[in-house]
Amino acid sequence: MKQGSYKHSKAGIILRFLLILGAVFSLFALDVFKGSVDIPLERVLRILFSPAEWLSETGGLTLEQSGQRDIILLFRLPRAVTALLAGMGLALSGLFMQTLFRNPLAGPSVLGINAGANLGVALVVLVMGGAAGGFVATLPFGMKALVTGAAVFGAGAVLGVVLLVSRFIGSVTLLLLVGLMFGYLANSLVTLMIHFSAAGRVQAYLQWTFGSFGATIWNDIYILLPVIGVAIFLGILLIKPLNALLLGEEYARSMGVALIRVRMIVIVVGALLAGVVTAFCGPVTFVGVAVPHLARGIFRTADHRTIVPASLLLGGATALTADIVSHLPGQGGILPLNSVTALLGVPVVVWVLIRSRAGRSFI
Amino acid sequence: MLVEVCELLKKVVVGSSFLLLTVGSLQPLTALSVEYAEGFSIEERSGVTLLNIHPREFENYNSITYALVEQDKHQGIAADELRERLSIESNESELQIIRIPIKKLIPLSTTFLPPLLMLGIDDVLSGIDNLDYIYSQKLRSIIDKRDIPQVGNGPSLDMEQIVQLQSAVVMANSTQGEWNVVPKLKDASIPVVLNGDYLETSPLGRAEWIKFIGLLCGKGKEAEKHFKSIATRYTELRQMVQTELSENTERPQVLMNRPMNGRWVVPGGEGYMAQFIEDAGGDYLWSSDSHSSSLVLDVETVFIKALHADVWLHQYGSTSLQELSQADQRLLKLKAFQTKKVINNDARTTEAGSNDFYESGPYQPDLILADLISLFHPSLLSGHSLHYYRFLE
Repeated sequence: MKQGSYKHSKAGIILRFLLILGAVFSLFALDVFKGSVDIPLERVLRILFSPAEWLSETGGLTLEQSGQRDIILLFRLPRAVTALLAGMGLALSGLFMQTLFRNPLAGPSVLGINAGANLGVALVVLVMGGAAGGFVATLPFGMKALVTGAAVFGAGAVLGVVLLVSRFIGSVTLLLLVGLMFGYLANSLVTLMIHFSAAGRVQAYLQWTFGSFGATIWNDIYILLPVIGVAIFLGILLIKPLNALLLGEEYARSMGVALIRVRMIVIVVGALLAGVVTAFCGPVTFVGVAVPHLARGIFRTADHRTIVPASLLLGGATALTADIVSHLPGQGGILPLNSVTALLGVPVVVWVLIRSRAGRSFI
Repeated sequence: MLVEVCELLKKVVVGSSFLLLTVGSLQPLTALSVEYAEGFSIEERSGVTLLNIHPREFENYNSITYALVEQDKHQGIAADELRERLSIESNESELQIIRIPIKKLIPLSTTFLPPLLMLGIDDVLSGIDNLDYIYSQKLRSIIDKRDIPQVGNGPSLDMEQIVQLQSAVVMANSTQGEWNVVPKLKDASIPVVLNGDYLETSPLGRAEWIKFIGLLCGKGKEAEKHFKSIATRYTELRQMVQTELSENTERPQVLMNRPMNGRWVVPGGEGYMAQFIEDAGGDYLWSSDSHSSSLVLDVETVFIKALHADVWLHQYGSTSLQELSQADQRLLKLKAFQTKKVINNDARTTEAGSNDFYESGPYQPDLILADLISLFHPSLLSGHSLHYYRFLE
């Protein structure tokens, strides 16, 4: 790892963290303050910070006022929280994949992990969904937990198989190809299921694949938050062994890292993150692959002590930005999230990669 | 030399037989007229019925003219020749000769089927898209009894089946991308007739396409008669609403559909459903919108408008109030939910996924209108029991 003159000073790193943290806060606030319905800033603040007067169902609010309260508390807040959590989760998952496979192209959508999660979701929804149609966000609570479990299991299954194959294939390129193949397999199974399902669901499925942070309600966040919280906690515990892995498996082993156990935990956490986010937000692409590169480019290091928190924050910021932009068209229109993430993100990431030599020297 | 003579002879024969046809049908073929539909028109030229289709969204095919030529009349005439005889400018539209009455028809959409029953010409049915999408018990038993094959649609269209059904005419929608089966069929020289009923924005306009199918199958008069009675009843109902509701009468505000994945898709204010709601004396929340296609909106925009709505119409998916509230508790806040004015158009559906609202519904707009009137203004049609709609419980 040649860091040499590219390495930032400690103060530089702290400054960068503070700036990004500030950006996350501002973006979160912006996502809550601005929406397709115009609500005056002063009223939003009042709804958020003097809820007693605003929360009572019978408190003499006009229909317009209670509608605005519901929009802030029941639509925008859960959406912003979902975007933040999903962005963090996807970025961390992508970082894990890149370190684990020692490949800059790795990420949940590239390795077929998202496809595995899709397969899990489709299996439960299409086979057991009954006449209700629709996808995860329109399911009753019990079903949601089941679907989430299936998505995590599907993601884990693909990831596990890819890693198993990696024991026999030395080439990372080949390994990525294998991941892609399993992704195609999972996707074709989903297509097959869609093909044999009632016509209305095809539309619902298509909508789901556009990706959205706005499909969740608070009840969903009660699943999303603990899962992502635990995964982040585990991610922090994994910083040391991940750093060792960066230097190669031989080195890691010599450092006393229990490789098999670490790999197992990384797989489970990566699948958990990708699976749970996919279940609730649809297959959100790009964030997982790109954000770790953005983090390495900005901080000019591959050290997980820096890159884990940086990826988490930048992941949240990226997702929030995408959510804000997807609500920009005006007149209540909305853009598909997946096209926004890539449209906005690709130029930024390419610029960062070209500008900093970090793109070549780390992973 | 010999070839030239043959060509000349052929021309003479064809030409004279054409003349015979023209003379033979001098008694005026009372041309049907189109009153409401915007997507097709009917024209008579030298005794040949011309069906012009020009739906607004058929961008790829500016306009197509189907020349309806009787089965036994001038065999072997080419489209160009007919064009010349009927003096149709060659840049006017693409001309396609269709032999009528069509003996074998493969309708690739469920909505093309009901006219066959209504006009008593179900014997032309030679292939269907997918049995699962068909609601009518009568059609299902006919298909079963005659062992009519399913040929699929879009990417899963079974070309071999269609080719095997020799000289069958395929009726298709015009769609884009891989769902566009028209080029594929044309490559195989299979006659295709495009039907643009789904693009009509007025209920009567959509119902009027029964004339299109009727003419192709040699039942134009019957189709006209059928349509006339539907149109009369529809207009009467609409008139009744207009006279009974005074200027000051409150029209119920109408909300449509449910949120899905953070978006709420609602029909445009100039579209088919908006017209129905207007005619039934309802106040559609997006009536001032100027789109005929659906609007994809952010949930919060719809939610704040929807709070006051009196009636909530669904088009798919929602099965019960409990299912709706479990999926999204926020919907409990809507007035229409609290007053249980939540209605779905799925009263007539099958397990497999067919819905009669989209099958016979387009040809019975009077029934849909009556349903809506009785939902919006129960006192105006007190004896009416819902046909396509039902209250969610």
